[in-house]
Amino acid sequence: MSMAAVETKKITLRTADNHEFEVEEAIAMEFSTIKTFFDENPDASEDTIPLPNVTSKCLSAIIEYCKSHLAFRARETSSSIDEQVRTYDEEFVKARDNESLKELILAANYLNIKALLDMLNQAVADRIKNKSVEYVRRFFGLENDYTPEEEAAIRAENEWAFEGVDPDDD
Amino acid sequence: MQKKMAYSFPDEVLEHVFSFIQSDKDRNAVSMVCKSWYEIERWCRRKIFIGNCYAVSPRIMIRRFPEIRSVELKGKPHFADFNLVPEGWGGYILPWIVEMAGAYPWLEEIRLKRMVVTDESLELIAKSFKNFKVLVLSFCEGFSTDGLAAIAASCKNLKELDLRESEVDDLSGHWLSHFPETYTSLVSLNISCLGSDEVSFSALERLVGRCPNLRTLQLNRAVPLDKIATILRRAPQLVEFGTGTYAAELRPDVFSNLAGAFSSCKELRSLSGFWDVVPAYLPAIYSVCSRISSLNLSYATIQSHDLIKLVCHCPSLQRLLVLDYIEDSGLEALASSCKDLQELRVFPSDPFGAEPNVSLTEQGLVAVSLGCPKLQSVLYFCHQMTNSALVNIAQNRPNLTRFRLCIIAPRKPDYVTLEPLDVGFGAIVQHCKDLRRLSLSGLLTDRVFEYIGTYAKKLEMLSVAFAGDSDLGLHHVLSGCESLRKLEIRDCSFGDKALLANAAKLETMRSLWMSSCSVSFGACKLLGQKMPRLNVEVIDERGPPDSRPESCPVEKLYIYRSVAGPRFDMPPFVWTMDDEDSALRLS
Repeated sequence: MSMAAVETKKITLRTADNHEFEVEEAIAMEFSTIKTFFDENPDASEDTIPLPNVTSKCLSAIIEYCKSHLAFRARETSSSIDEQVRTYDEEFVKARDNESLKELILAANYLNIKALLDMLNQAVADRIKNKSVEYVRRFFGLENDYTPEEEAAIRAENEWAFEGVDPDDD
Repeated sequence: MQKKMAYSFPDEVLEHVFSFIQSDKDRNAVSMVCKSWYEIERWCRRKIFIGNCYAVSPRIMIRRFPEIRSVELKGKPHFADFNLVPEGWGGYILPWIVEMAGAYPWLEEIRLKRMVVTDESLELIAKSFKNFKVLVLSFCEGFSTDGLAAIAASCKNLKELDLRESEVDDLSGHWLSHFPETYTSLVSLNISCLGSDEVSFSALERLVGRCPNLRTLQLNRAVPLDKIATILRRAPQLVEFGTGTYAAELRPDVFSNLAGAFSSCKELRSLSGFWDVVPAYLPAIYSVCSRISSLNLSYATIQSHDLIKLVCHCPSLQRLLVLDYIEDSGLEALASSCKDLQELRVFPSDPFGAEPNVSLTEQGLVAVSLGCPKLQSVLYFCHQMTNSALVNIAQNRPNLTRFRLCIIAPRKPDYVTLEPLDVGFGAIVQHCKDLRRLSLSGLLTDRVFEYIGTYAKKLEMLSVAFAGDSDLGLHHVLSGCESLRKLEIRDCSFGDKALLANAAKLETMRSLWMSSCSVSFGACKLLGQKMPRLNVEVIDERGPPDSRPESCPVEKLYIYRSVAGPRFDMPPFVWTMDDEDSALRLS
């Protein structure tokens, strides 16, 4: 204890699958849910925080993300840093399959990490753009609860009334 | 075994995801996923595009989408531009504005094309939408500068006022003074269509001077050349500029003032206007030409050698609109100098003359197709064409997406071989696999339609005039063109058979226009009965169609799919074919 200069404060988080993660306070404060909790309960920082809605796989990825972004933010802003951030985000998303992406979104939403949520939601939007309705249903694991008549009526309205922008065609 | 988590995305997360999905096609897909998604999506859709105002009603739109901020509507069929749609046909915006005034108090943008807009509509817009920002009226009519004055006076957050190609009753230039002195948010102003000789120049100057975000300014002809420098010096940040009349007595001080003013506009990328050009003043723009990507000289009555000099100064040109005064020699110069050219439109200087007045032939277009590798979009008016030139063009430029050829005299054959131009257009559709827009002209048999039906699989809009021999032609197009959305036909001998045989196809298209063809009244009635979701409208200025035999061809026919049923604002010369037996609905 005596030799350390300044010890960074650590927070312990316990995931849904009972793994414990020790993270630096700075990183835990990126999670607005946790920051709010500590702002309201300043004495609680010694306790282990349970995260029943987050798996260890997710939390580990999220911690990596927040660590990297904190490091980026600590450096001076420049267009090359922006480029590096963009590349990092692209790689972060590219590596995830659809299931992991959805899990991460729910976790980021629960932990209220705005920048990560923005990025992930954009990524999901990109994955369902230009896809069929059936693909989108499968992606989200959703059932079609329209009757055939209802579906036909909406399809007609969509295609006939609200069809989409004309390319400039005179 | 670990069970997969049930992913129940909270509504606000879904809404957030949807906010990244802007295209109507994707939004529509999202709405079809399931009922809860339909609900979430409809509350967060902000932008609507309605390609045919009669395909839906304002009530239906408002009921489904309660929070719209931006609406775009199109009214009359495209052939209205050629005076084929009689006055009073329809396309009124007022009923839409009335409904939206109540339902969308936060509406920000209205974009209209070929609609009838009245001063009353403009006044209602000015009064009803507190955060109104964008008004674009393209090929519209029915309003005056009084309506514009209301907009100017009330819309404190107005960013864009664009009247492109509209017909405006220009009662007074003073409407510009109705922009209050405190108003500074203008970004884009296009008043190039205003016709009167009056312009409140001092109001214009003050307006321009106090709007630091002004990017686009397109003046009308009434603004004299010697005022351009004053305007530009107040707005050196302009990106798009349209002059007024570009003529004045040649004076060195005026010239150098003008040239100096242009040279201080470092952001300028697009130029237009140029009425009545005095060529000696053209070099005043040379200093900005190297950065110009769009040049609209469609009013500039200057000769080929002056056009060549100008074009050679514009190596970054991507878009050129010009009169046929450019001639083949000018197009050859264009092909050498402007390697980034994407769009070319050549308009006729003398469309009604018996003989060509300029030396513009098929060679000019061939030269551009050869020299400009990025050329995608062509509109070309000329007097003669050959199959061999069309084949060349097709082979040179398979990346064409829009090809509109307008040989001025109808039914003109290949002038060398005297053959029809079927093979030439056939080559166009065969080579240009991404062709979305095509206009035909010249002597054409059913053969050309066979080529089109076989090859033009991405074609969305086709314009046909004085072509084909029989119904087979129409049948080829309707049965073969999978992506067809709009078909407009005039003066062709297409009749009942192909239309009735392909009735179902019409529900997959936005609209079909046929005028001076051979479709009988009986066939129109039958089509109306068979296809209740189509509005089959007969336009006939000779009087009620049932006062003539059923076999008599109708003058004009406009068929379109609609979820709103038949319209009720038809003039006396339009009849909707009802789906009841033999019923004829009068307006």
